[in-house]
Amino acid sequence: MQDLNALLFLEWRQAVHRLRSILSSPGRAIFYLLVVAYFIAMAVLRGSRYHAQTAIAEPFASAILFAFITLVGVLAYGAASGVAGVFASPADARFLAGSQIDDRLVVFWLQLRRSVSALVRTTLSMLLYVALVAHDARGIGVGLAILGGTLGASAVAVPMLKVRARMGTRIAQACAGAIVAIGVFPLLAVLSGTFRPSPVQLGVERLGGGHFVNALFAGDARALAAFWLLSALLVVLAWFTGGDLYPDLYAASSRVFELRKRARSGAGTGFTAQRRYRNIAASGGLTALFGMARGSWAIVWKDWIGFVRMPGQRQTYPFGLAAGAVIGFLIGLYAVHSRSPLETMLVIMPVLFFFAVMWLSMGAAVSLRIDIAKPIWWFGADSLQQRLFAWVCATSWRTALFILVTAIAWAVAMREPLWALYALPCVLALVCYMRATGLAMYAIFPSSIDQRGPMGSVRALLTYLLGAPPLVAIAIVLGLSGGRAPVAAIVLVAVAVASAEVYVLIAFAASRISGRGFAIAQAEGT
Amino acid sequence: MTDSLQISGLVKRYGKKVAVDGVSFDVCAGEIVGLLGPNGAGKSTTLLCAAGLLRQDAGTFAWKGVPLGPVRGQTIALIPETPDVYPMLTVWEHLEFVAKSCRLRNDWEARGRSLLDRFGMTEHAQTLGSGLSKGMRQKTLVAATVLAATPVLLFDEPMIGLDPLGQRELRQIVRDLAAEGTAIVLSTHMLEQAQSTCDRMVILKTGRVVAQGTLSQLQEQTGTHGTAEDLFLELTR
Repeated sequence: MQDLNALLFLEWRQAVHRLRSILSSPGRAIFYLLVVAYFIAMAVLRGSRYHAQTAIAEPFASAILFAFITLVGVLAYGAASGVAGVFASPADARFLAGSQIDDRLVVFWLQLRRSVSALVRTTLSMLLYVALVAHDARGIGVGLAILGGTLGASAVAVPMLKVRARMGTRIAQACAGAIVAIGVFPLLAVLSGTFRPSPVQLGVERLGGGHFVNALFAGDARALAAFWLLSALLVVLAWFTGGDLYPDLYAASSRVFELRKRARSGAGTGFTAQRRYRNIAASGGLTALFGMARGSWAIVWKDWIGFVRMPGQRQTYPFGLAAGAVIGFLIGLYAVHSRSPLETMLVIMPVLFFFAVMWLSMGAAVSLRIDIAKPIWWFGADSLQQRLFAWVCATSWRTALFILVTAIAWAVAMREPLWALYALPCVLALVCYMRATGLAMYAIFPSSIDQRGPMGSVRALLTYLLGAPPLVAIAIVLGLSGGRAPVAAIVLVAVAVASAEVYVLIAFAASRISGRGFAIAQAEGT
Repeated sequence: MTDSLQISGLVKRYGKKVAVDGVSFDVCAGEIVGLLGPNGAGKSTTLLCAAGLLRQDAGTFAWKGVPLGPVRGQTIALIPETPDVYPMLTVWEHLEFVAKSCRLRNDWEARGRSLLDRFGMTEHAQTLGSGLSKGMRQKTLVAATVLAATPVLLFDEPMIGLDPLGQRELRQIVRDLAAEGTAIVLSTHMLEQAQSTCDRMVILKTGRVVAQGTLSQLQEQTGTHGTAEDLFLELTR
């Protein structure tokens, strides 16, 4: 109990000081209040939708269960590869490893910490749902299922870390791979039924996974008890296997600190990245091409060199592109086989856009400290605005290429190659515009605490808000043409407006950073 | 059995590279041992292994002759090269957390206050970690470690980044701690300071101990009657 008390003290005091530091700055407080308001609005909206929903139909109900098992497998695979809930900082490692708190409790606590935002959000959503819209057990059932699932998914990392430490990475990865297989093959089987029902799909559905999911979400006591019992067993297993893992967590932490630093600087990340860049000569056609860059565009060349020298990056990035192509092709295939491909795409596109915005916004924390704190970055005659524009391009093209490949594969599957052509400017504008939004936010709140925290939600919110001008422009064009404007003209107008927004956002960031480069770099570290 | 930390046959590999290759030495209570060596000699790796933050491939650690387990936080504390503290905890809260997590007796508050006073940190007791200079962060870590009464202290390059006054203060703190009976290992590049602060020196080169002893013993071994710097250059050439 004393141990738990110490850990709670640590988290509580940090939370209190963080809150105080937010409230001490009115601008910050407004942004954080915006995030809270957004969260409450979304929770209420979702809560009311849960109430309106009936049971989830097959094959989607079964797919939810197998997707969850796949997710647990992926988390286990991450732990087997050394990616787990780790020390939050070198100070965390020093103080927790140097304490007399039972190391098994610390190890499990670190895993829980990784899921803390999911746990807090779900708990608050449940409370809001109960207070505002609850008329049946559905919302509570969903909330309890998410809480139990998060707890179990957090716990699974610990035994995997232990297997890795004792038996080696390969065996641990094989075990985790088996869990992924248990989830992913039935998942593919049930999803294949959306094209054409098959005996395999029906067989998987007969296992009763979908029925179990519906019972869970409906708040069925027996289903919830069984699910929570499973999570509790995983927690117990984590407790028994959590000893002597500090060295593994410390090694994983060091990698995470390095990856976090690189991800925020826009240098890209890779799961196999080691602590140092490889000292290899960058060569090849692309290096020669980027090497032709002059003036502020040398930033693109610098970023490329960093990308080339990052261990594993050149191997993992093509794999990511291939995965994007497969996903895009499958989505296209699904739409083209549906009764109305256009209608299906109109349903899928907003969902995909929503996920893309959330994913890009959450992961788009900006860090310029390693650049603007160095005098060498400021050499040359180009303006800061030009440099920042080059930086946005340098740190956007990889994401843009990934989305573009996905879009091309989708267009091919849809047998609409012209759409791929339209996707090109749209994707470039979208990614640059999201990066520029992150940059503008960074220029206002450079602190890494803000960047990693709710600023992700603010970036997402701003992305939606700033999406309004291109939409208004499209509406005007459609209105003026009586709805007969060609797609190319619509794309052109939307991209032009988005590009103007990129220009304004970068100009704003440049005006904020100009003359305060070192102060901003320092503020980022606080 | 004397109160001493014994490190025996420590081996640590990173893949095929052997970073530490059979390092053995001991540190008695009240003694300051300097761990010297060029970059990449294995000093930090040795200290991280000793603190239980890196798993060694071979070798043992013992305190008072009793082998230490993998979790050694109660016996050995590491003050790393970059003295990181929690940015969102005050100096006093760092001490409070140590008191709670190390289950200290109720008199810890008086000891904590006296430590802050001794390190000249009383007026910064309510300052957040994010507002501390490197020297103050170093002192916060040392105060927290002393409060936990860990018998062995490992300092990894503690003087880097400190101004001359900070270096002098830290040297004095290290000497005081040793005088109170703490066993101290000090990894450093600053040879003059090692000469003036350490009772003995262990010199590493490419992961191996190439010499160890007092300055005069090392001078005798090498036949060099110069400073610690001369000895170091002679031994690590």
